[in-house]
This record gives sequence, structure tokens and C-alpha cells, in this order.
Amino acid sequence: MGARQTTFGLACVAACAAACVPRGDPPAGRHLVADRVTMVGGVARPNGDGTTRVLLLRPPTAQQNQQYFDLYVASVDATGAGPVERLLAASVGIQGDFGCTYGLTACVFMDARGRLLVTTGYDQDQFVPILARIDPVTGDRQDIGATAYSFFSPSRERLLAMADAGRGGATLYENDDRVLVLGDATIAQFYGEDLYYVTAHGDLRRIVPGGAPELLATGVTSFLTAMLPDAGVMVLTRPTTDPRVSSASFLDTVTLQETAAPADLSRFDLSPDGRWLLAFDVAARSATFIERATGVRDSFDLPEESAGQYEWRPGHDEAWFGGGSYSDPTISIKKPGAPPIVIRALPYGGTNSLVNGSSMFTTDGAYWFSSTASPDTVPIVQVGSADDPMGARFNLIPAGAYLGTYWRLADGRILTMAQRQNWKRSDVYAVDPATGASSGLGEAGLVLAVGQTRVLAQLHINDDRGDLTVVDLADGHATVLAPEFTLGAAVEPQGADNVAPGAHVVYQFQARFESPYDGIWLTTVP
Amino acid sequence: MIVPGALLAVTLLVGAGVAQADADARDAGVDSRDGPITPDAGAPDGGGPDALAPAPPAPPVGHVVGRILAKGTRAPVAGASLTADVNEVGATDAHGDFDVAIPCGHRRLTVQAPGFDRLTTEVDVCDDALKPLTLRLAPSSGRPSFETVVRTKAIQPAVRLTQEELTQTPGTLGDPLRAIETLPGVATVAWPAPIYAVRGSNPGNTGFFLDTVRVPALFHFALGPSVIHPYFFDSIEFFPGGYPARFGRYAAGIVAADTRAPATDRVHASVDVRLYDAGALVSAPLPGNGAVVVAGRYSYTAALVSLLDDNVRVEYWDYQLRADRRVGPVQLTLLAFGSKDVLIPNQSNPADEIDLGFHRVSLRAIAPFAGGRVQGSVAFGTDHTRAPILDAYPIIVDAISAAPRLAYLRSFAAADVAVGFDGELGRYEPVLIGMLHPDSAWDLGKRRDAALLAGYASATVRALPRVLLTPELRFDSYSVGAGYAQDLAPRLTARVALRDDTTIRAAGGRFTQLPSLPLQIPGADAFGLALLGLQASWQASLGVETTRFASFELAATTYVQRYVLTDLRDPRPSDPDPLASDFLVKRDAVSYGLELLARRPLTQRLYGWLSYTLSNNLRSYGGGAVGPSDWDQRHIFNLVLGYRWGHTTLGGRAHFNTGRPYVTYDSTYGTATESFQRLPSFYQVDVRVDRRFVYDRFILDFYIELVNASLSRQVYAVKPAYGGGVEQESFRIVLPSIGVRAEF
Repeated sequence: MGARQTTFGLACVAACAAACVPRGDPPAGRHLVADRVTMVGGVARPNGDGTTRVLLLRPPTAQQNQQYFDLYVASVDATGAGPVERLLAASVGIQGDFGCTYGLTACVFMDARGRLLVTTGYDQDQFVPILARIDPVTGDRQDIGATAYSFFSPSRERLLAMADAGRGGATLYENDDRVLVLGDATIAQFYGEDLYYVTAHGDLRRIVPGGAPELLATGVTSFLTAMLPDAGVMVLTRPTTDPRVSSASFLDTVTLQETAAPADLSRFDLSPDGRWLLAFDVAARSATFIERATGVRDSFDLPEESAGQYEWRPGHDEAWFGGGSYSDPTISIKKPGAPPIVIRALPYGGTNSLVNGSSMFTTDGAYWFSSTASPDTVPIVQVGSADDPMGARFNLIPAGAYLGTYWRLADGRILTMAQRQNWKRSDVYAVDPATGASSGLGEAGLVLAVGQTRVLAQLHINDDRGDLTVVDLADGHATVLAPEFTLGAAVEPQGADNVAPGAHVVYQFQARFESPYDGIWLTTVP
Repeated sequence: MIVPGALLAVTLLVGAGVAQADADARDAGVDSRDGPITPDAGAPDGGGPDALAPAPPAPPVGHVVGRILAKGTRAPVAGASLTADVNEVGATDAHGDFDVAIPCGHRRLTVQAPGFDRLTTEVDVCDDALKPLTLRLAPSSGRPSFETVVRTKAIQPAVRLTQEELTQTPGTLGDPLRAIETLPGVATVAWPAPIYAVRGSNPGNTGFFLDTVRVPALFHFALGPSVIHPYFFDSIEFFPGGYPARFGRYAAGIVAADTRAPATDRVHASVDVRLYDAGALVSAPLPGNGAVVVAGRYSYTAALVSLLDDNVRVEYWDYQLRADRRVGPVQLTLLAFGSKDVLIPNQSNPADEIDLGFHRVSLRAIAPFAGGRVQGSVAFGTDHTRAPILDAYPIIVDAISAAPRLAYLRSFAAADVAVGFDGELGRYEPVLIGMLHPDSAWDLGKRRDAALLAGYASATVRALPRVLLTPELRFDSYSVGAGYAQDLAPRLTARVALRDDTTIRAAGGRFTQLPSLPLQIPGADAFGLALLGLQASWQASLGVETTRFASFELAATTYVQRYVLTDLRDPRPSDPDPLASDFLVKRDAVSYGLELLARRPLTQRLYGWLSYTLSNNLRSYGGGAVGPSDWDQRHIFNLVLGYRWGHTTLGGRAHFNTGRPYVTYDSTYGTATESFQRLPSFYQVDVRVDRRFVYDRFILDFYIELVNASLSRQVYAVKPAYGGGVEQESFRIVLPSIGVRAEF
């Protein structure tokens, strides 16, 4: 064989070798969009027509407002045909999120019918955004206008938009498409599904779903509801002749009976179920439980060095008071009619649940959180039974890590994210609060959604990209849907299970360098 | 006759009738010395075999005895010829001694030996005053006193460096291990740091062995020298790929260095002083037989640095020891070496401290056995590493290891056969300043044991008159913590002599390695097996070598390497986390290219080599992306030249490489857009002057070197510039070095 043939042969070998650099397996699912700019907006709520509607966000052109995106919907059917895209709104901003929190590129605010709340502009006079609600199925658009703030009812069927919090003006958008202009509403709040608001004239009104405004009280300056909607009670505040003093009364939201609060109380709180009042006498360093219905009182001394911090234990007529010093912290647990129980512990109230915000208790009040570390170091967060406060407590996360958000799993365990140096690279643990048994479900990432039996997580995040992973909560088995380069993801809303097996997951995949796998993919929860 | 570094001396011992060496002779290196005077017994006093016709009486002769030594080193020179006037009268024996008969009278005595200048002196033979003389011969001017070189010696494709190539290659600061950066297939990825990527692999995929003992670190910090004293080396053999089966556990190439056996004749010593450090090497015979050599080096850089900034502490030292001894039929060799580096960039922040150290001690035995020979060795080691990896929290690792080796070699008429076993047993005990992730199979931060065992068989078969085939098979078993893997790796090397001066050589095979960091760090070994599995490569090369063109040796090699390597998952991590299982990931890679080497051997007054590498190194980056390897330098060119002029050697190196890829980053809406930019090409010129001063009993070597005399600027990063274009980040480093070495 001559040199020329040899050279040619070697060149062929080299070319074949070069061509054979494996690209690796593609990520799971259908490749809907192949580019590096389109981002995940979410998945529209299914309407039963068999079509999956993926919400897409594309960055603006240079001429557009760089804070806004073009919102598209890509309709995908089960036949495997290519997606059909439609522009829903050009140059829109995104309001809040949609159950998808950390790590997601963008999620849209969605009501119970799947309509999307987006920002279409900015009111330069009031310095507030201009909102619209868009139906991703029909493309119908409902302009809401300049809105200082907006919020949904718990069912997300009702939307209240406050035009100007200071000067009043609100609009209620009902699920049946009725629009109620509330005019001069200055304070508004959903209590359960019912909307309560106070007008500029001091009228307390209520609108139940499908109903009309009804006047409940007059002369009201503000109101405070009990924590639990089932309590059916709120405290109304009215002015007195002394501008420094207000009068208080209780309104039963079921019977609409109003009763006066004890006249000698200047400062009190309602228990979550509304049964008890807790009043303080700061000068005397004492507090008193007062049964709202009977007026029965139980006074007790506040713990030493108590600054008055306390928290009602959810589901129980029981308050926990922090006291003691930094070096010797105490918790005084008081039930009406029973002597206080004092334990040496530092309550940890920084634990944040997406359900009930920061609390030292789990949402059901069954467990409580404490810290064994000194206050000026990284807390070592422990969990213990609130029924047995002097019983065993277990580390919720490894010492040295910060506790981020936690979820209560359907099986009673606590799902936590333990933050290290970078909150986007938290470790995920499931801890049985009764036994302390802990199992690691994932490392260096974020929980995206927690379902009944599955967790969708973005793990091993580097530069915002990570492994899109579904973890089976029963056995910890992890299924990587898309390795390494998932930038954002959203799960199709399906009933009460946020990560239901079979539910669609849409995600953005962007390799470190340009790749044929880049783009938007659609798959399902295994 | 090969005598390294040689100078000669001659001792003349003259019998009855002694010549008085004149001044010229003394100047030429003639010493008178006390010694035995041999009476003239050779001159018949009359009478001969033919009594009937008596021959004229033979002229009286005297016996001249003496010794020839190399000037400077006092090493005896064997085989030197002696001529009295025009008649050759004898030669030195193996010890440099001679005893020759020379007719009485005033004679011109000439001593000649290959590689040395001719020495002529005058003696009065039979003069009673003539005493034993010592003559020292100076090495030939402008020629090396030994043969050495860059040559291919092993069956497997390799480049071998010896002697001056190790210590005087310009641009290497006299460090033998740096010399490999001038060879084909080697990319210096971040000059001047001695970090080498071989044939597109990661630097951590090439192994370094000293007398078959794996060396965990090659160089002291920053621009520090190699951890082995330069004159401790005898040779370095560089296998850019397709290395022999007696080595293993590296996916790319091997650098196999051999230590120099200590001289057994007498005590030798050398002391070297450089701008940054000082070292010494002493060898001495052992009682009975054998010899020992000890070398060490200590840096006073700390003092220099402290003069500039008392908040910074830099310190390093190293040591080496080799002792040879024969016990019966068994040749024993004890080898010990170690190194220590301390760098505290900011003494007020102990977390930044870097502390690397290791120690190795090895005992090797070679003995004849069953018609062949058996070689056995065991090496014990300790490692200590404290290093912040990628600016993350420190990792402290203490490790102990034991590495047994056993081989049996035998030559038959048709083949040379070797079978062997080698192992590495290690225990790694990290001390974490950081937290482990939950239930992770990633064990870099966990206490773990490793048992790496291998067996191999090799046969170099003389299949045809012009064909040598070396099939090899190596079986590796890897056990690290909870991870286990095994691999059967076939290898084949073939040499076909097309002509007496031209050979075709092909090699290929499979090579495996435990997961590794891209850069080798002592103690950061043997991890990740359970999670990542083995690194592996399939390699193939085909080359031709010829010596048919004048005094040049030419070699051209093409190669293809297919790798599966561990790499940083994100080479530009915003928050590097060595304790997380995503710190490393496995990547596919392919490298192919052409390597050229043309050399003119050291036996020439003008010597050196030219190497050129054309390569394309591709790597999968996950997610379907394929791009150039981070280390990819498409063209690499090195020209190393030396010219001898008397005892002076002028050297220079010209280096050129095209830029490697650099990842630029742009961010829009929180999404990263990364792309490759090529760093600009880099060239540099290094110059070096060596001057040797030879005295009767010692040698002074003086050198001055300027690395990057071209004042080239090294661009190490590029990034998109505000307003468009590309902004470069660069530095310009010029490394001057001056040193003197005295050899006794």
C-alpha cells in the first residue's frame, strides 16, 4: 500500500472517529421547540380536549421593553404531530408564580380556570403595573387595568384587583366572568372564599361567591380575621373619641352577630379558632387567656426575659412563649386552665412552609421546631413532637446547613431543603418527625414541585442548569428526565396532586454549548 | 566508552629510570605522585636465542605504569591508548591503569581516548627521578563526552530523554520533567505552569513514574522545580500513548523516569545553587559492594517572598535517596523520595493555606530465576494534602499506600516474554471543612480504602526477520470504597523494518483509569468509582521512523484516541463543590492528529530537535453538545537547538502554539449563553548559556537562562467587551534563572 493510500486511510479513520464523538442520549420527551431562547412559561390547566397547552416565553426584540416577554401557547396533541403555536400576548410581564417557585425560569400566575394573569404595561402616573387576564385556550383577553396589588381567593376562582391601596378602588373578578367594581374599597381580604372589604366610609361589606355586596357593619376602620376560616370570627375596630384608642368588637361571620370586646383590653390576639383571646399586661409581665364566649379568664406570668414573642399552636388552644436568655433560652407552654410547662429550648421560627409561612410549628401543630445552636451561629434545626415537648428532638437537616422551605408530605414526613453555600444547591431530605429517620432524596438543587407520591426537583444545579429529576417519595428512586442542562420546568396542574404520575412536564433544556437538544421539551411524570 | 560528564587524568608510574615531567606536561595535567617503582626487568643483559649470531643488544626499556582519570571528576578512563613517540605501547585497563614498556630515554607520551582531547607529555624513561604521574584528560571541545539523546528505544512508541536533554533544554529551567513539554503530543495548557495535556486528554490522565513508583506530584508550587533533583534522573521515557502493559491506570500516556545508579568507584558530590533554591547530591560506595546516592533541595523562596510581603509564606523542599547493593545473586535497590510544599498567600486567612507533601520508599529486588529474571518491589507511601479546590473550602486528605510489583522476564529464541503483577493499596482519610451531601455515592470527601490490582502478560515476538510484534494483555481490578470495576485491556505494538534505516511502528490498545480530577492533586486519588465508573481509552497510532537523511532522525506518527474521561461538570462553576457528586462527570472525547519529530543527536556539535503536533481534540460536553477540548491547541511547534563551542553551549528554544478554546459567557434573562473563543496564538523564545569550567579535581557548571526572552504576553482569558469585540486578559512573565553547580 502506498503512502497516498495510507494517508487516505488514516484520514478516513480520523474523520470517522471525529464524527463518532457521542452526543449522548437526548433528554426525555418530545422536542417542541429547538432554540436557546424560548423559555418555559408553564402548562395550561387541561380542559379535557386532549390537547396539552404549553406556555412559552420568548425574549423581546431589541425594540421592545427588555423586561417583558412575548407569551405564546404551543398546543400539542397526543398524535405526535408538531406543536401549533399561537401568540397570546406580546410584550408581557409575568406576575408572581404558579406553584413553581425556585429555579424556574418563569411561571405565570394562573387562576382556577387556567387563565393567565400577566402584566401588559406600566402605569406611569400611578407607578403600578397594568394587568390582563388571558385564556390560553381561546386567546380571550380581559384587561384588568392599572393594579396596585391583586390576589386570588384560596380556590383561585376569585380575583381581586386593588387599583390604588391608598385611595381605594377595587374590582372583583368572579369565576363566572362577572366583574364587580367595588369603588372605594380601601381594605379587602378573602376570608375563606368570601371577600370582606371596608369602604372609605367605614362600611364593612362582604361578597360571597356568586353573590352581591352585603353590608355587615358600619363605622369600621379595620378588621382582623381569625387564622382559621372555620372559626368564623373577626375583630372589628372602630374609632373612639380618643384618637389614640380604638374600640373592638367581634363579628361572627356566620350569624353576623356582633359582640363587644371586653372594655379593659387594650391589646389582645385571637386564637386561630377564635375561641380565645390572649391579652398582655406588659408592665406586669403577665398575660391572660379570655374565653371569648364566656369571658372566663386565666392569668399567668410571662417567662423571664420574655419579649412577648409567642405563637399559637395550630389546632390547639395552646400558646408557646419564648423566654430566657441567649445562653439559656426557655419556652413556656401555656394552655388555658393549666399551669405553664417550661422547657429549655430555643424556638426556631424561621422554618418556612409554603402553606403557613414562617412558624415554629408544622401546619397541623403536631410538631415543633427548635434550634440547638447559639443564636449567632448557623441554627441546628430540630423537630420534635409538640404533644411531648420534653421528648426527643431530631436534627431536621445536617448541622451547618440552613433550613429553607419545607413541605409536609402526604405520609407525614417533612421534606426539607438544606441550604449550604448557595441556596440553589440545597440538599433535599425527607425526615420522619416521629422517629428522626432521615433520607436524602437529592443533592445540590431545588425542589420544584411536591406531589402526593413524587417530587419534581432540579438537582445538581450549576449556572442555573440542573438535572430535572422526579423522585419517588416512597423509595427515593430518582428518575432523571433531563440531565445537567434543565433551566426551567413546570408541571401540568392536575387536581390536588402537583406531581401526578402521567402529568405533563415542560422544561427548557439548554446545553452548555449550542446543541441539537436545546429547546423546549415535553414529557410526563413517571 | 561512555563516561558521563567526563574529564580524564592519567597517572604515570614509571619504573627504573624516571622522567621528570616538564612544565608543559604539568600544564597538560601531569602530576607526579608517590608510588611503587617497578625495577626494569625486561632488558636482557646479553645473550639471546641465537648464540651463534648474537643480535645487537636491545635498547634498555623502562616500565611505565600509570592511571588515566577524567579531568574534573577523577573518574578512571578505560581503553585509553598510549603512544611513545610514534609507537603504540599499550592501553589502560578497566580501572584506568596501565603498565607499558618504553625504551629508555626522553619520550613523547601521548594519551588518547574517545571523547577527550589528546594529551601529550614528555617523560624521561628510566630516569630514577621519575615518579608515578597522574594525567587528567580534558573532554573533547565541542563534542559531548557521552552519547545521548532523543531517541526511540522502547518497543512501544516513546521518546527517550537522557543527560543534557534532561538538564539543559532551554526553557525548562533545568528541570528534566519540563523537557517533555517540547515533545510531540504535549500541550502546555497554561504556560508557565507545568501542566501538560497529552493527546487531547486531561493533564490528570497522564501518569508519572519514577523507577515504576507512581509519583503523585511532579512539581513544586507555582513555578517551582520538579520534586526530583535533576541529576537524580538517568533517563525519561515518554509514551504519549500505547504505553507498555507493565504500566497501567492512566487513560492517556505515561512518563517513566529512571533514576541513575550511584557510582561505585568513590565518593561523588555535587552542589547546585540557583536563584530560588539550592540542592545537593552525594553518592558513595557502600562497604562490600553497592553504593548510595542522596539528593535534596531546599527553597529559600520564602525568605525572598517575605522580603516583598511578610504576609505571604512560600516554602518547599524535596529529597531523594537510592541505595544499590548486591546480596548473593539478588540486586537490591532502595529508593526513597519525598516532597513538601507550603503556600500561604495570606497568613491572616489560614483557609487559603495549601500544604502538599508526600513520601515514598521502595525496595526492589532483581534476581535470576528459571532461566530468566524475576523483579519484585514494594513501595510504601504517605500523602498529605490541604488545598482549597477551585476557591472552595479546603480539603484535607491524608493517605497511606502500598504498591507491590512482581514480574518475571525471560528471553527465548523467538520472543521475550514478561508476566507480572502490580497493585496499589491505599487508604484515604479526608478531613472535611464542609458538609457531605446526603447518602451520596460520591466519596471524595469520605474515608475509603482502595485496592487496585493488575496482572499482565507481554511477549515481544520476532515473528519475521524484519517484524517485531508485542501483543500484551493487562487485567485490572479496581476496588474503591463501595465501587468495583474490572477491565481486560489488550494492547498490540508492531515494528516493521522496511529498510535498515527505516521502520514503521504501530501501536494500539485499551487503557483504563479511575475517575480523576483534571489536574492531579496528591491525595485526591481513588474516588468516584461507584458513581462514575472507569475512565477508558482506545488508542491507535501509526508512525514511521528513519535515519536515512544525513545525521537526522525523523519520525512521523498519526494517532487516534477515543476517550471516556471524567471532567468538571461545569468548567466554570459559580460555586464549585468538590463534595457534591456533580463535581465530576464522564465525557466522551476523541483526539486525532499528526506528530513530527526531527532530531539531530547530541553527538553533533549542533544538536536539538524540532517537534510539531497537529491535532484535533473533540469532547462531548453533555446535552448533545460537542466542541473542542479545553486543552485543544491545533498547532504546536517546538524548535530546540544547542550549539557547542568549546566548553560553552549556547541553547535556544522557539515555541509556538495556536490558542486553546476559552469559554465566554453571556447572560440574558438568567439564561447562560456560552460559546468558544480561541485564545490568541502564543509564541516564546527561550535562551540559555551553559559554561563548564574544568579543574583537576572538580567541575563548575555555570548557566544562565532566560525563559520567554521574547517577552511574549500570555493571554489566559477572553471575554466579550463592553460595546462589542473581545477583551483579553493576559500576563507577561519572564523567568530569568542563573545557577552554578559544582561537581566533585
